[in-house]
Amino acid sequence: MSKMTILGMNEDRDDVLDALMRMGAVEIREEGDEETNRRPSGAAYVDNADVRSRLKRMIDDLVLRFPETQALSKRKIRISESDFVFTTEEEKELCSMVDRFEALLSDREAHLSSIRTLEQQRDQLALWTDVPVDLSIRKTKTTSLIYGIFRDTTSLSAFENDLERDFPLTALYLLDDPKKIPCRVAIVVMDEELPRVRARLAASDYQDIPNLPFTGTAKETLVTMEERIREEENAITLVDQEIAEINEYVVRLMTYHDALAVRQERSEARDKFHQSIYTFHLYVWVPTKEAEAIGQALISQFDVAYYHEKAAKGEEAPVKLQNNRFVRLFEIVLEMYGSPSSNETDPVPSMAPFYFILFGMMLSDVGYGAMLVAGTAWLLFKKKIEGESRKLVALLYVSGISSIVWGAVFGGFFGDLLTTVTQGRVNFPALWFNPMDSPIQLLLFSMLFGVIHLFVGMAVNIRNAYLSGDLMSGLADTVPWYLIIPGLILLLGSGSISTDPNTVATLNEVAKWMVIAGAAFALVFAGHGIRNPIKRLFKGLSSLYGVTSWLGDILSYSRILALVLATSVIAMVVNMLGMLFGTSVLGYIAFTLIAILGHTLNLALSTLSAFVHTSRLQYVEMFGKFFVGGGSFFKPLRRNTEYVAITEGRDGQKMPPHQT
Amino acid sequence: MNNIYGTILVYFAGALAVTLPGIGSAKALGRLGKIAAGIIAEDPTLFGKLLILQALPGTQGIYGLLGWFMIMSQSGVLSGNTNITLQQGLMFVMAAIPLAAVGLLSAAHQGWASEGGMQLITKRPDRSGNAIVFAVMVETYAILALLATILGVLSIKV
Repeated sequence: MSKMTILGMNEDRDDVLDALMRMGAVEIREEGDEETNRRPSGAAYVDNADVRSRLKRMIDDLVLRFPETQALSKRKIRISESDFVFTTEEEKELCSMVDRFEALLSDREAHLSSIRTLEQQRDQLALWTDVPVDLSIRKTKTTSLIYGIFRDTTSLSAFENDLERDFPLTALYLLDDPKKIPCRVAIVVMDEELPRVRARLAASDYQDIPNLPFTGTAKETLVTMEERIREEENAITLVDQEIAEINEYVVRLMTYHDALAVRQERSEARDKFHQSIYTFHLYVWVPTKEAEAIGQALISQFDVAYYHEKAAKGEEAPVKLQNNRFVRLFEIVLEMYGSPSSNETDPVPSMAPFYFILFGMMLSDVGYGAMLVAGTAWLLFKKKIEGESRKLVALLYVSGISSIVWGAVFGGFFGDLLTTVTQGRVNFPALWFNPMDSPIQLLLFSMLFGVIHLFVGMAVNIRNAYLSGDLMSGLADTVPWYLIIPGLILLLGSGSISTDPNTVATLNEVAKWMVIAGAAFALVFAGHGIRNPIKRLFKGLSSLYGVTSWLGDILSYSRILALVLATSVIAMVVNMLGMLFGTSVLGYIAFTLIAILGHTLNLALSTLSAFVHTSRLQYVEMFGKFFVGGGSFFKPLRRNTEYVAITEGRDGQKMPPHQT
Repeated sequence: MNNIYGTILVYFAGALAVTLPGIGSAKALGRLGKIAAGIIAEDPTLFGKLLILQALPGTQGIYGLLGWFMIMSQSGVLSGNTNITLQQGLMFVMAAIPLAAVGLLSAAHQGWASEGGMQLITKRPDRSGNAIVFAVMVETYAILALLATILGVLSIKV
């Protein structure tokens, strides 16, 4: 990384910023005091955020409504530079489109709710359809008409009696057989008796006819209601048509959303400029290789001056990883962990081969590996997914290849699928050995593999120490273990290397001296730089105590065995379940179904396990041996778009080379 | 007829191995599912990350099934062997204990670590890697217990 200072005239300020955003190759450096936690504010910011969030809601809504829009939103839409420019008129038009869309949505909601009301009323009316009376007439000059339902026979007969006795001017008509409940009634009552009849009804188990917008008999009212429902539905169709018309502009709306986001980011970046009356200056980080090209590109367009120099030794600069195509696939593992310091070795190249191998061992099955490779290849090359998930899928893609290789080594093909299906006549051969038969062997190899992994981690530690100019401390931390660990392994395992007692004795002797030499090295050098000999000795002793953490680290690799067994045993259980239905044709059909379901499930679970446990071995065991950390990844100022990707430069301008 | 007790003990060992870790996993997954559902209501984009965190304490249940299978196949019960002595049966039970006990408790506690991780990624979605590692640390002991059980079971000669 290099530090670059750009000096220019104020009138060029926004254009320079635009150009830098288009290149996407510089990160603005906040000079001097710590990062100020400025929060964007002001009317312009609020407007921008408001329109953006409304646009986003609108686009989300359109995506749900229209499958073709959904297809569009799956990938970023390629647009040209000139498409990313908006005139004031167009902006106004798009904003009014947002307003219109929101109004349409609320219209649609209103129509829907009146349809719901009408449908409810229609259901309430259903009970009255056979009554051939105009239900909208409830009053004559001197009488009132009441329709309702008695829900209780005693209540009804009591009411009938009361009528005869107390209300001579009121007539009751039964619309149903009074023995059946509920019984509908019509009551004609003189207006002067109405309040008292009402009071009497309120005391009975009686319910008035629902208060509906009657237009005649119940049947006629139903017809009107159906008509109104149809009208509302037509209105909704019209609204939907208009929404579909707006959907024609969805690409433009998406672009506008992104343009607003970029505009916001630009104005935030502008706040970081240092300004005088006529000029501005800007401090940025640039990748050293690109610094000159970027400066030249700026000079060719604007009246600016620039200056760049490499970051000073020991200065913390943003970290940009640079690796070959294979190693680059594993960068996401580091990104998930956190950024290394800019002054330490990039851990990815030493980690990548181990990630590849460890993942493959944990998910060692030719069938599962092939499924994983096929699935991820489909996502990568056919669906062409983008962004963060693409990195993860690409990681699983290469890791799947490793699974196939290790599956062949350990003889796993969907567990023991071939053996089960052929009733033991065909076995999938193992190139090396089958972990189910000799788990102890795999346990030992897992740990041996762990030792190698950790030793590579320590080598990175030495390099880091060398880079920071303190090689001695790197050696003091590592050399004792390079001697002690192999020495101890040799002491434990000398018996299995040779049967000749003399050879074993020699090996033991060598091992003993390796351990002693390592311990002595630690005692003498662990406390280098400390003058007080007693303190120095204590420092040495306490560093030897680290042997316990080594024990834990190495044992941790036993998880490889556990995961190998887990994958293959679950696969075997699936196969076993599948064969429960025998070897008839139906049995094989059942087997196929169970196998597809079970193996897919096992693949998902085992892939997750392999992914997290491989990551853990890298993060905790290997990184623990050397990782310094505390840096931050290079986050260049660029146009962070959500829906569109801008493909060509304005006026065919040549962009300086940079990687994205 | 004497050996029926041995066979019963083998079944008991298998039941221990598969039941207790399964209970632990189910408890943890259930609680995490509830929390994840609440988070999804706020931010549906976190689904993938939350699903991984929810699934982590599920492994103990699978290790349980693995232990069950090892016990059943090593004892020969799966292929119809009922000739197991009382001593052998007891050995299987003892061998099953690490997996059963540690599986149950580690799943429950891994659930707590996962829950913390879920809270972490609601605030910092980019730190899901760290959240996973914190939860996976707990699982180490389930794996060690599984290995103890497997190696123990495999060392019993039937």
